[in-house]
Amino acid sequence: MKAQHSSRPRSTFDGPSISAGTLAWLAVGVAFAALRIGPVLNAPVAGAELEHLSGAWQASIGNADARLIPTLFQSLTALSFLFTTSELPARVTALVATATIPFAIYGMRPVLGNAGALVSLVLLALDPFGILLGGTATAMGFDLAITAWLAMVVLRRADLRWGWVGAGFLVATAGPLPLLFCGAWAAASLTRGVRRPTASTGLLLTGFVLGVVFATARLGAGLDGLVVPPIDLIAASANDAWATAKTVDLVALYGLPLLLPGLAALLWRLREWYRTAETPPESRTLMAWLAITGGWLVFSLADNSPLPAAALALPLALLLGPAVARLVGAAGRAEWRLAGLLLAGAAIFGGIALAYALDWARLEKVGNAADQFRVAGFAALMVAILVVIALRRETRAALAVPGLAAGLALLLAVSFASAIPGEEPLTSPYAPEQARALRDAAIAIRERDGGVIQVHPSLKEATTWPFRDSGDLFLASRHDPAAAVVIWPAELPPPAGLQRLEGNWALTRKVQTPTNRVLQGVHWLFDRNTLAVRPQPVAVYTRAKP
Amino acid sequence: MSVIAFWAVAMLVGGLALPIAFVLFRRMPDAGAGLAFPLGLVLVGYGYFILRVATVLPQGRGGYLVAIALLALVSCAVAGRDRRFASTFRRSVPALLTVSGLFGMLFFAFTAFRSFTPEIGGTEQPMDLMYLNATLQSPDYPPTDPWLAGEEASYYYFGYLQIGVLTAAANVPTSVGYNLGLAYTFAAAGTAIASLAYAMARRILGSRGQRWAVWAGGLAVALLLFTGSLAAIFEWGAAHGEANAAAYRAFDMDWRISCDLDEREYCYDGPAGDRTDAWYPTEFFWWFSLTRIVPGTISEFPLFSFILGDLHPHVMAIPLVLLAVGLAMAVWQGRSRLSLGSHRRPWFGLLLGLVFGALAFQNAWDVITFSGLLALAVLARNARTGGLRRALRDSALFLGPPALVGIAAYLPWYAGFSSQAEGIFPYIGAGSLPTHAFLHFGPVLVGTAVLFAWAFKATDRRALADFATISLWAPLVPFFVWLLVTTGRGELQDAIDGRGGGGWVTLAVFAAGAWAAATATLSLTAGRRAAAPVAAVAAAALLLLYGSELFYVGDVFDSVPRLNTVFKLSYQAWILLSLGGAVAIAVALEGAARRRAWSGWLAVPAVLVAAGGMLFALFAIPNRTDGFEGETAIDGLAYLARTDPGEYALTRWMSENVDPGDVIIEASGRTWRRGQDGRLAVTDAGSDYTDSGRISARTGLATPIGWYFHEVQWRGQSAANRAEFTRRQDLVDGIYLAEDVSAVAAKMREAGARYLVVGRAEQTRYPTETLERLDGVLDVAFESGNVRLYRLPEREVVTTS
Repeated sequence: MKAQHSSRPRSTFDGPSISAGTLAWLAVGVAFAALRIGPVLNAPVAGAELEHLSGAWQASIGNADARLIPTLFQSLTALSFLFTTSELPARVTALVATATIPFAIYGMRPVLGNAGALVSLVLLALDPFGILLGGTATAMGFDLAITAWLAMVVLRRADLRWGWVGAGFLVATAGPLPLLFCGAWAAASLTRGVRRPTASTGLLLTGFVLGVVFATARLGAGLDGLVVPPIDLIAASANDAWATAKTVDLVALYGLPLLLPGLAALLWRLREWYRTAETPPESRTLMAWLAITGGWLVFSLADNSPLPAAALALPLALLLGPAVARLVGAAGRAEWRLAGLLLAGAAIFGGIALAYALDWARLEKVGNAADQFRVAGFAALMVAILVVIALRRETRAALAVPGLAAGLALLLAVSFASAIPGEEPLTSPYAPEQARALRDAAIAIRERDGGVIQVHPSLKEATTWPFRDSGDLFLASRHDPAAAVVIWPAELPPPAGLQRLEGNWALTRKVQTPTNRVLQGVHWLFDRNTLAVRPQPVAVYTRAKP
Repeated sequence: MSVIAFWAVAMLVGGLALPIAFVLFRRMPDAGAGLAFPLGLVLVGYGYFILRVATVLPQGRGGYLVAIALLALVSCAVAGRDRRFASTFRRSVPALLTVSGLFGMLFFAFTAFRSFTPEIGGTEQPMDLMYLNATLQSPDYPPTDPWLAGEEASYYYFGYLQIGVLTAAANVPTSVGYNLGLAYTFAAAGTAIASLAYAMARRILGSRGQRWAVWAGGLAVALLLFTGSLAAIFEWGAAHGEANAAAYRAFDMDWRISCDLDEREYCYDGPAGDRTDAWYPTEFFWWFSLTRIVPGTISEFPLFSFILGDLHPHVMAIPLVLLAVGLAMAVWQGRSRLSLGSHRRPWFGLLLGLVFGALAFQNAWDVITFSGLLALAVLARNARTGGLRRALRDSALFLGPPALVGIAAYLPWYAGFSSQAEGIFPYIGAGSLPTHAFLHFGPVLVGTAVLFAWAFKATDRRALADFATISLWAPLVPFFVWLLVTTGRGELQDAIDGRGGGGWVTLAVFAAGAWAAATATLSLTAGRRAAAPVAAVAAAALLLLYGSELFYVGDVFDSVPRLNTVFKLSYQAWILLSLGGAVAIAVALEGAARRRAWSGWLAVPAVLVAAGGMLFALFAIPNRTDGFEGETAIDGLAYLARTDPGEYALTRWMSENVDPGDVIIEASGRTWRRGQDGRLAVTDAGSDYTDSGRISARTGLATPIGWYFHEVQWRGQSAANRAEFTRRQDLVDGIYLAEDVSAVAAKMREAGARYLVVGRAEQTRYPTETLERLDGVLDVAFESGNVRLYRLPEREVVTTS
């Protein structure tokens, strides 16, 4: 040992060394967590989070509310409201759980390969749906973390022994994502002809039953039949408006950079399967997972929920990671002298065409015939060069580089849209700061003038979150003389004898999706402030001064 | 897009059921691919039903998706355990492609037809829409009855639930799902019968007869879905003024000839001469009257049902009924003895229980007939390997557990279902005329006649005589029972006289047919011949026709006692005769083509008569679609958007904004007017087949009372029921007629209602002075044109900390 040691070249740095690979893992892990800090601190309370925080708040003060779906996370959120009125502790809890995902992915290296796992983590870090889900306080706050850890355990064929009970409990008290993974795992196992349930299956089911019992107790809010939160949340994702935009629009705006290469990787994997006729259990599970989450997304395209897209992102990233790593490796072996020249040419022509297209997108109008001809010409030249590269065996692999670069650029664009919260379709409808300001103003008037705060019943749900911790509210569809402040739908005639409080008040705001889809969508990609925001206006009335 | 989505979901559900179909129907040439659609849908439907009852699944679309995912898991388990799955799949690829193509063709063809006449408005269609909405919108399960707020639905609604699965998963409105549900039923029925007929013919003819087996499949589809009454030919002639009075009289069709000057009864009293300006009869709904030619009953057939477009249980049940026939055939084809020990692997028994139990839940009339067919198949299989006594014992032991499952699995439904059946009674009245029976059943009965031409050929004469003696009891026993009961009731003479000469002839023909078919079944079964199921199917059909001439199930229709019995049993017979007849004709034609067998040539006139029945489709379809002219749509409420946009907007608004558990008040159906003395009085009390309960039907929201007499049909005609229904009508009318509007809110609370509708129906049925004063006491929740939706004023203190 000594001789060996002495034969190595002496390092000039005597301190603790760290490999480039470890550094990369550390950097991506830190970036993974860092990208989620923005939503934790600044994202508006929107969509599913608005609904679930409202439900948790109601549970914390003992009000029965259908928006309470007692996942473990929502239960903890309700618990946190015993100490605070802020959503921040719940969001931090979600972030802490989500921040463990890099460790789970790190644990998948034996299955995905070191580079593949690392790339998978990069993709997960940049997934805009995952960024939002992991940094906000929806009832599904633990979903990504539980699913990732479960996937790690299953794909590595690890045995948790009694830990399976805990896993089952977590699956039953989480949102849909872990249950979908379990469904895929079961489907993959069943198609392999697994005949007898193993002890671990029994323990998992025991934990699941315990979780259902926990959820059925509904935090002491009274029994109302069996409650299986993941199933209730699948239903809520279909029935409720967790986003202003349709799921298909959300996928078009935020999901394509992951979805399109993911589909290509899927086809590639299926081709390999067909050729080798070998189906290792890990591949089966991953494919079944993709099939289930993909199927859910297809069935949900007309709904208003980002959750199915978030569900699909996880298996897609695990599929894409190794594929991208292989692609990068292959690209390194390409004949770069020729390929580089050709790619530079393609980049120039493509860049010119793109410049025109971006200008059209800025104006949201296609240019004149001459411009269109130019763009078509440059695009054709670019395509021709790419075809030439593709046709030559020694340069073909180099095509991966522009493909990956374009994909990464798009992914970064949509990731930062999610990580740096603004007025985004992904976080719409949301409760604006102004809604809380309205609550403060109403309380001030009530304290000054006496009486009650009256709210129209149609605004009941919209006021739950911004008007939390405001004492008693009087809900009535007809003006009550005891009301000091009346919050009324703007479209209804004003109550007699009251005066309107100045200001454009709104309890929620909705960010519109691009209407002229392609051009407005491209415009939105490089200028986030192009989309219209529509408030749900309310009128505020106070007693007329004598 | 809605059409494609619905079709894709149907394909998905059928596809997911394939591994299970492979295991059940592996001996069939297509390995059960043609039966996978009803199999998948019944399993998803049951899963959804039972998990909703257990409150595991919540209301809404997501629950349906979970139920479909569960079927996928079950299929994975079955495929994983089935060692022959891959080989069966590879062998079935051509069949899968054929079945998919046939399903798609029938689905899209029917959708195209229906798009010319998509309205959900006439006959009992509002009721069908109501039940479809009830299964989708009900906040609790078993679903509540939207036309009797607060009460569980008391009807066999499983068909609606299954169409609801496709509607919800495809994310289409129910008014679209209704029409596409009809298209699905049409296509699933077609693929199922084609699959069965092909399998039966292939088994008889062997691989050399594949071409003729394909013909059998095609002919079965044609007989089931495109064939109707021969009376259409008479209608066509009469419409063109070319009626030969003697011929019409010979077939008792003279009621379609224009009346003479001094004649007004049993003749057409419209204008004489041509009554059409097209090549087909254009008189409104002429084809409807041809299903009412047998006095005192309805004689429908599937083609009529699909042209009419009522999404009734007996229509939606066709694919399930064919699945049940397929299972019976699969049981018959098996080799090992079936007994209690066969349930050591419980899956097959469980599945039998679920499917045959579903027959009662989907259309209660089917469960006895097709369970009987299954029992016969089990008995025939067991009789091959032992004596009759042992076969009987083992069969009973084998069928016991599935029967228990079939009842236990649907207990939540049975608990809320009150049957209107009052017992089985001997029929005393005019029998069906042989001419009418021929016109109606001729096109499907002739195939059975062809069966008799070849079924007995290989049987020894002495053995045949023995079989004939035994099977004579099949028609004799029911007849003796009928004779005994009518004698006991002192009604024998009335029964003999009342039936009439024609009625006795029809009875005798059906009895002879049933006897011959039963003899064929026995002889073919004993000879272990592949044609035995064909004969058994024909025998069952003829016994149904024969039995419904002798007995009826008593119900609320006292004035037309056998209406439902003949209607429902002859419908089953039509399905069976389509199947058996198609196979019999194809086998006979193969004999004629290959061996110049004389019996084969008998098939030629049979085909001609069947083709005559297909003229019904040729003449009635253009009539129903106004010659395929006019606008097309697939939304069954699109007509409402044109004729009453305000009410259409109200319907859509309520579907999206009103909580499924809320009760609404709308017109009870009774019309009120002020008399000369100034007092309000009911001028029209009929609520059934009117716009009573219309909003409830279109949205699934509950209202205190909908169609009064239909509730009587579903719940029985007890004094208590009638009193309760009348009380509800009074309560609703009291709200609209309140002199003191301040009492309106209290009355609404008494009815448990939150909303009150004022639309065209309310404005025409109640004096308008009260309606105009409602503004003072209720909030306006929605308004469009002359339509208003009122809501009870709300007052509530909520705590926020």
